[in-house]
Amino acid sequence: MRVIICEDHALVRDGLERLLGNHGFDVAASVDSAGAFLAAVKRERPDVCVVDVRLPPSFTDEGIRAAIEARHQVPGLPILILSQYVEQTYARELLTSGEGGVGYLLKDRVADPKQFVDAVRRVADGGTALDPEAVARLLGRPDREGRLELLTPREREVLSLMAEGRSNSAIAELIVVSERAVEKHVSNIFWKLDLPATGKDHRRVLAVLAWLQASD
Amino acid sequence: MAMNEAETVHMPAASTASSWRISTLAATAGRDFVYLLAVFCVSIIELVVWITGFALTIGLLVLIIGLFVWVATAYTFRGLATIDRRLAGWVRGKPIPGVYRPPGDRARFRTVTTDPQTWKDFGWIVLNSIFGFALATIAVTATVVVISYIVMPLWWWAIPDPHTQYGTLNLGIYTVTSTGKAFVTTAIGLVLAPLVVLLNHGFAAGHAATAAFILGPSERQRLNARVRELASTRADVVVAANEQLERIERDLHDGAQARLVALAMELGMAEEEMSNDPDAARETVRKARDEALNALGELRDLSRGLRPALLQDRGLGTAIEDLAQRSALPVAVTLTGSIERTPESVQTAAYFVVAEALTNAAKHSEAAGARVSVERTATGLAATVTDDGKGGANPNGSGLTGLQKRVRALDGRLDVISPPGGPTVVRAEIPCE
Repeated sequence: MRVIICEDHALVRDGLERLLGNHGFDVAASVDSAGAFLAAVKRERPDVCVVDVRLPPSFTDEGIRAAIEARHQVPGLPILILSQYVEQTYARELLTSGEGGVGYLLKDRVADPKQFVDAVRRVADGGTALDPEAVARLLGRPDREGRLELLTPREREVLSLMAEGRSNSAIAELIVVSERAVEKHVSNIFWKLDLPATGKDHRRVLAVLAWLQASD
Repeated sequence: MAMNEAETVHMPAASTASSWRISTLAATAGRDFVYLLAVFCVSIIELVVWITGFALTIGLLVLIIGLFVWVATAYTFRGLATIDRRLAGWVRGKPIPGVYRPPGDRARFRTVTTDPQTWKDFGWIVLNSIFGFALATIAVTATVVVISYIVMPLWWWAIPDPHTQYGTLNLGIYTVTSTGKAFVTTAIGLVLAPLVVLLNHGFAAGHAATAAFILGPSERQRLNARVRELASTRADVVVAANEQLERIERDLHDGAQARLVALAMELGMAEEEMSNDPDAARETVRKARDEALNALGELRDLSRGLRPALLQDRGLGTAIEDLAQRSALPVAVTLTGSIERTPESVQTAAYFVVAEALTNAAKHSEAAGARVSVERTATGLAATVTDDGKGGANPNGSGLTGLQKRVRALDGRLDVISPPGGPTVVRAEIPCE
C-alpha cells in the first residue's frame, strides 16, 4: 500500500516514515509543505495520505485546505488528517469534501502504532476514522436541527463508534451485543436520519456527516 | 577663641551665599532683558504675519486659493507660537507644551480650522503684536537709557554741540557739559537701575505667564491628548499581548509538542520491537529519552522567556548579570543607583530590552563586545545597551517593535540608534516614582 506523508516537523515525519514502513507501507513521498504535497499526489497517485493540519507558511489550516484541494483533483483520495487539537470545523470541512476515505486523528494516536495503522488502513479502504475525542466532544454539543433527538441513547453510542470508523463486528464486540443487534441499530439510524439506500459504506459516512452537521 | 573659630568657619559661607545671590540676580536680570528683546523682535514679525495672512486670506477667499493661504497662515501662527512657547518656557524655567490635534485622515483645512489651539494661537499673536510689542518697547528703551546714563562719562563728549567746541548733551532739565557732570548721570543711572531690573522682571514674568496661559494646553486639551496617548498605548498593549500569545503557541507547537509526539511514537514502536528485535527496541528507547530531554530543554527556555525566574527571585541586577554571562559576546555591566527599588513591571521591561538588544548584538551585529548600563535616574530607570558591531539595525523589526510597545505602555521611550557602520545603541527610559 503506497502512502504520502505530509508533515513539516522533521522529527515527526521521520517517525511516521519508520512507523508506516515497519507495518508494510510503501512511503511513496514524504513532504513538508502543502504545495509539495499536491505535486506529490498528482505524481504518485497514492493509496492513502497522512497530512498534518498546520503547515507553512501561516501554520493555521493549510493541511485541511490542501487535503480538500487534493480530493478535488483526485475524487475519493483517502486522506487521514493529523492534528494537535480537535477542531470540529476542520473535520466537517473534510467530510463534506466528497465521499468516504477520510480520517481526522489527534497526533497523540501515533503513540499506539497498531491502532494508528488500523486507522490508516480503514481510511485507505474508504472508511472513516474520527478521533474518539472529537466524537466525545460532538456528543456534548447541542443538536440544532433536532434530528439526533430521535435516536435512542444506544443508537447514539453506535453512531459515535461508526464515526470513529468501526465496523459492525467491532462495535458489537465493544458494546457487548450481537452483531445482528448492531445491524438493527445501524439500519434504525439510517432510517431516522432519512438516508437513501446506496452503497453501504457510503451510507455510514453520510450518517456521520449528518450528525456532524446537526451538532454544529 | 571659640568665637574666632566660629567666625572663620562662618565667614566664607556667608560670602559664598551673597555672591551666589548676586550672580543669580544678575543672571535673572540678563535673562529677563534677553527675553524682552526677543519678544520685541518676534512681536514685530507677528504683526506683519497676521496682517498679511489675514488680508490675503480674506482677499483671496473668493478664489479657492484663500483656503490654502489660510492653512499656510495657520501653520505660520503655529511656528511663531512655538517660538513664543520656547521663549516663555525658558524664562519660566518650565517648558510649555503645545498640544495640537494630529493631522489624522481628515482634510488639513478642517483639522487646522477646528483645532481650538489654532484660534488661541491667533488671538495670542494679535495680542502680542500690540501689547507685547508695547511692553517690550518700554522695557528695552528703559534699559538702554539707564545703561547709557551709567556709562555717560565715556561717551557724552561724542555728541557734537554747535555752540561749543566740546560735546554736550541736553537731557531737558539737565545738560551735561563736562565729564564731572556726566558722573552725576551715572549716579542717577545707578539709582534707576534696580527699578528697571524690577520693571523688566515684572514685564517678563507677566508676559511669560500670559503666554503660558494662552499658548499652553487647557486642562481639557491636556486630558484629550493624554486620553489619545493612553488609547494608543493600550491598543498596542493588546496587540503585543496577542502577538506574544501567538508566539508562545507557535513555540509550543513547533517545539515541545512536536518532540513529545515524536517521543510517544518512538515509545510505541519500541513496545512493538521489544518482542521480535530487542536491540532495535533499546536503540529506539534511547532516542525517545533524547527526545524527552530536548522537550524539557525547550519548555525551560520557553518559560524563561515568559517570566525570567531570576528576575523575580533576585531582582534586576542579578538578572542582568546573568544575561551578560549567558550572552555569546563579552558584556560589561554597569549598574548605577538603587535600580531594584522600582516597580516590577519597569524592571521586567528593562530586562527584556537588555535581553533582546544583547541577542540582536550577538546574532546580527558582528560585534566583538557589548556594554550594558542600567541606571536609576531622577525620573525613572534607564537601560542602555551599546555594541561595537556594524550597526544598521532595523528599529521596525518585530523584536524591537515589541519592545517599543512594552516600553511605551509604561509611558517610557525606546531609542534605537544604529547608523550603518555602527555602533548600535539601544536605550530605554522608563519613568517611575
